[in-house]
Amino acid sequence: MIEGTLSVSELGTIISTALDMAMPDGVWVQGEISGLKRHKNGHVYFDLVERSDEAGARPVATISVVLWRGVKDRVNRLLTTHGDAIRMDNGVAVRIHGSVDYWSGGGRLQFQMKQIDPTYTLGKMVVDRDVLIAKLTAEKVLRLNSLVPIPDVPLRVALVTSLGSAAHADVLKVLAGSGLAFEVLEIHSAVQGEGAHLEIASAIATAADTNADVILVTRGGGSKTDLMAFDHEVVARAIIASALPVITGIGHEVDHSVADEVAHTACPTPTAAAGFVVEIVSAWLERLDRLETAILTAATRAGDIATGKLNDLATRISLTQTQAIRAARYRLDSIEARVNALDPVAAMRRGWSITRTADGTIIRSVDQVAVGAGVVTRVADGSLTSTITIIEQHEDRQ
Amino acid sequence: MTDTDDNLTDGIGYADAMSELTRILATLETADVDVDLLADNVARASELIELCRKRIVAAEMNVEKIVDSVESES
Repeated sequence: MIEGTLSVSELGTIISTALDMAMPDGVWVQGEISGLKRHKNGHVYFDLVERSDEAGARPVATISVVLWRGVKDRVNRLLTTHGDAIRMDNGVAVRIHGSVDYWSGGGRLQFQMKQIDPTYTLGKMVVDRDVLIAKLTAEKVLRLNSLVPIPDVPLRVALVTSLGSAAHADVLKVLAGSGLAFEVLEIHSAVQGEGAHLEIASAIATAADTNADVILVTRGGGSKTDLMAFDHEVVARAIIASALPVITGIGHEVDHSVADEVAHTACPTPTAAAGFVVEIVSAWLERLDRLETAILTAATRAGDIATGKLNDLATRISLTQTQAIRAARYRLDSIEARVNALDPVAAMRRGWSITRTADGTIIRSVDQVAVGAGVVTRVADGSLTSTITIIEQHEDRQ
Repeated sequence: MTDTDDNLTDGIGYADAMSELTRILATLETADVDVDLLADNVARASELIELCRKRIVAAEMNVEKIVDSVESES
């Protein structure tokens, strides 16, 4: 028990001493970066928070952190040993080492950061990602969006990205340069930093409610921590719940987020994602071209066949007509021959004659004339007038 | 999203247009295509193909902002 009454500075000294004694070698602490500010004097200030399991709830604990400019370079060298995979930013889970100091002048408790453990951040990201993927797999929803069919001609594209970013420009460049009638519905979202995962999920839900054919979710390259919003469960669930197919183009080719795992199709970059949609429409147009060529070829062939059939028919008609004409001629000739055969003149030429009485009646019987009657006999080339002198009757022929 | 929402100008969807063109081709490839129907089929195919191309190929892309910028991140 401290006896007597202390001044404020004396109290401050006791607090500082107690902290030094409790943590003489400093302490490692883990938490999430929040409210990060990079001051123009080179110092970095942020809060290290401990979050509860309840989404959106206030942190259960917070401590202010300062990374002095002089220490920052060492910390940055540590971060770059892992290939710039980590960038300190809001929402990033970190494990840092330092000392807890009490500054009595301002009455402030502050954690003075001196080191960082990059493997914690990277490892936690990997573990968190694996846990989430296992969870979604167990629920049998991991590949649900891949079952949503992409329309034959996906011309209406809902684009979820940070408007004005390089990724935004890349996508528009590819779509505009395709010569196809794309309609782009732009939906802005932050793509990194604290709360980005909530914005992305909300943007995807908004996109799914439009009349778009597909949703493109894109963001350019960055560190692993820059892309971590796309590993968040709310983003994954927004994609899974989407009634439209989601095409992702996140980061560089080597990056693969949980969003990529659950999307209909994951493309390596924003440009590739736009190219994927262009390719679908182009392929459909090529199919149309091939069909057009096949139809014209088939129609020409069918026309040629029809023309051939008509020609055959015409030939058959011609043949038939010729045969009919020949048959008709033959019949005509036959009739002519018969007619000629019955012609009296022809008979006369063969020696037959026709005899008539004076009044012109054809004489068929000796009974029609008497001796002394005048008769006229017609022969082939003329007629003879004579008088009956003798009549002889023969027996009838049957 | 069904092809009923994916309409060409005369209410036919892209998938339906492709199906009809495929049927026309099959008809034209049969040995005994009716000459009277030949011209009708070719005319219908031309109409569908022209309709599709007109809808898909364009000099300009259309861009609409659904959600513009929001408050900048910290």
